[in-house]
Amino acid sequence: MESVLPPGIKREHFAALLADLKKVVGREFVFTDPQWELPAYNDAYLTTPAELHQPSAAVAPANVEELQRVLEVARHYKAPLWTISTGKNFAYGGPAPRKAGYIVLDLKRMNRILEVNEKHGYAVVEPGVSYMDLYRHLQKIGSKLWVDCAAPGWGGVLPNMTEHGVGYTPYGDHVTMQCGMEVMLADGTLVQTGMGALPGSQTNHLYKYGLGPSVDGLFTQSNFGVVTKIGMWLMPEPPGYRPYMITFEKESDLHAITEVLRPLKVNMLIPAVAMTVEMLWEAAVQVTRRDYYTGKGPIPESVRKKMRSDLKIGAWNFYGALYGPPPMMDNTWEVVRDAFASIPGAKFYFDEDRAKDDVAWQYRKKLGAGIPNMTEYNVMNWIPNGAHIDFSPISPVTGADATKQYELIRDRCNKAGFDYCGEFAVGWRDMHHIFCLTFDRNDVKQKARANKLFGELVDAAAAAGYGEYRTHVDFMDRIAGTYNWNDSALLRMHEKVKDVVDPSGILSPGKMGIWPKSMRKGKA
Amino acid sequence: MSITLSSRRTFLQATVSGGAVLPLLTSLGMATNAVAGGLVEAEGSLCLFEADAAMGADMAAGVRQIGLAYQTVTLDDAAGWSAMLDALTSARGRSLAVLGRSATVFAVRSMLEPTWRVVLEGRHSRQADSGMRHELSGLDAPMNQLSGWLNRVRDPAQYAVVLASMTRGEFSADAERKTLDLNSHAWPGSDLVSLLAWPKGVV
Repeated sequence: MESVLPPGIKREHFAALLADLKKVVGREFVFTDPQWELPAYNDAYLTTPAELHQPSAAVAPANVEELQRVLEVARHYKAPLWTISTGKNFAYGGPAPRKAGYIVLDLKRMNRILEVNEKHGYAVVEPGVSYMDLYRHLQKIGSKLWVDCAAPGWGGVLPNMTEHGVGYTPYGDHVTMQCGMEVMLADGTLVQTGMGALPGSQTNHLYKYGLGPSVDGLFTQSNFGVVTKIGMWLMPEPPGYRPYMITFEKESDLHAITEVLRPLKVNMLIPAVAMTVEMLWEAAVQVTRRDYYTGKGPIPESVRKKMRSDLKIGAWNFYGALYGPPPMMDNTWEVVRDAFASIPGAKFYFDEDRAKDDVAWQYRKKLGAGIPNMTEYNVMNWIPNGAHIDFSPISPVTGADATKQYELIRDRCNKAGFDYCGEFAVGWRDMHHIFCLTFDRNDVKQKARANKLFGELVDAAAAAGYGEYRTHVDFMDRIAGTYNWNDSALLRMHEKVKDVVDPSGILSPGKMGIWPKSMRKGKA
Repeated sequence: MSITLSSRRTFLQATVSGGAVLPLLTSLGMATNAVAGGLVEAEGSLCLFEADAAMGADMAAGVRQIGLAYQTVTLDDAAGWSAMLDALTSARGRSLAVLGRSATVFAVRSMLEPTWRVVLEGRHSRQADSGMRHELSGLDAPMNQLSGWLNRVRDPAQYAVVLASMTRGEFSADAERKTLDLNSHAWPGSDLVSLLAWPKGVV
């Protein structure tokens, strides 16, 4: 791939810019080689040409002091930076920038675990700390605190939170569990939010809101600053943990499952993020499509039936867990079991009922106890050269909405020649519907179809009143455009904030549809 | 050549002593005198492979027998993943041969760049006629050299040995990249992906 320049920057200025960056972080941590270094900042799961997201360089500061000076250089040359941390945001763009020519601001060297507070149950981490890193550290120090991790455990604790990611324990809503934030503004100012604004604060990571407007949310899914440190509440190891799985025979059971689930969640009888997983997701982590079907188009029901039988899974598979002292778990289980038993054909499983080599069960069991792993990544083995982008609309927790969303996606997906592979993650009052649109990344036509389908889903979901919680870089503008109530008042407010906090427009231009003034409308 | 999995050392010794391929192995950086003595230079490379039945052989036994340093890779537990990361940390400056299922190799690759440079990627898939299709992409020179081995190795373990032996080469950084589509006899196990990565500085 040929080298590219940052938008609006001439080659001679770019050379000077790179020289200045090297003075800040050292030659070793400025990456410019388009053949050997910059591919690490591509998104292998793109459905659009890679050239559209080809970075001009990457720079990796080691600490906030270097970061401050990197921003100074970027402001001087008006060079757009694209912030990444661990760079594992696959399905949503990975490490790739929104536009070609951006310089990737790679924070993975800022990877210190600054504090683990056993007494109050929190950790303070920098952007480059992965779930695996934190888990390993907790194990090493003999901590009794759990990590709540994303399914692929190589993801970053901080960036997953800032991208509004979720996990699988009762602490699964990561934004809710974040407390205390340090952020660097585009002008290099370092800000402590909440209680951290008080010098010598004793409660920076204990009380979220401080005094006055709470601004932490402004720096999530945002380009208003660079988050350099956060506190995350960690769950103390409970006296008991008993994960369970309930399988359901019919595709149409989704309605009843969701109706049964809502009161159990709202009343906190199911404390963790509850997962209702469609059968192909379960299958894809352990077998390949070719093991069962070599035809084109969606897998026929006769084959699906055999897969369910072989793998001992249902059309839908519900995962939950009991936490607490055994008598409490016993009582809660009676309520949960009786509620789901009202659905004909429901089958109940605990750990002792599932095989030791049951891949799907084993990794879900770990996730519910905050033990990171990468097993879910095996979904990419489903088809040759597997890749995916995730379409993730939010739904109310009702049977009607779940079914409507499922059918909305399934029908369009099948028509486009893809398998539906998805799951519903139920949080406090909402349901994240994650549709894993899997395609062959070496098949140009298939990628084009996936891209077209994704666009259709955005429009169809918006027309039905459903918005996505997160998205791939290629669809940020399109989805931001659906959040257009009152003549796009929210986007216009975001733009006003952007113009004030980043007047040079150097931080992640276009992130979630927010462009700096210089690149807005027609210039993007 | 009739070589069984259990005599991989013999395989390499026979290959080397075959004469015709001796220059090739030398050019691949294999310490031929070490091979003749029964050892491949373990310092120069590290073999990473997925410990899974899909590999179709007892990879660990195979590569251990030939004297290659290796590290198994798994996506399924934190300790295994951490062990792999530790192995990578200690393998700085060495070449890497990576074999496994597609998702696993992709995940490993994401941890390599830009410290290592992936000079070759192979996709090895079973065909309906029970042969094997090999789609190679990467630098011209190592690909051409490696392609000659596809029909001579019997299984992924032997292929791993050959791949891991390519610790360096006289290949320029701006060398042309190309793709190559080849067929061979079937290997045991299921579809897999392979990578050859060299440390920054070799190319």
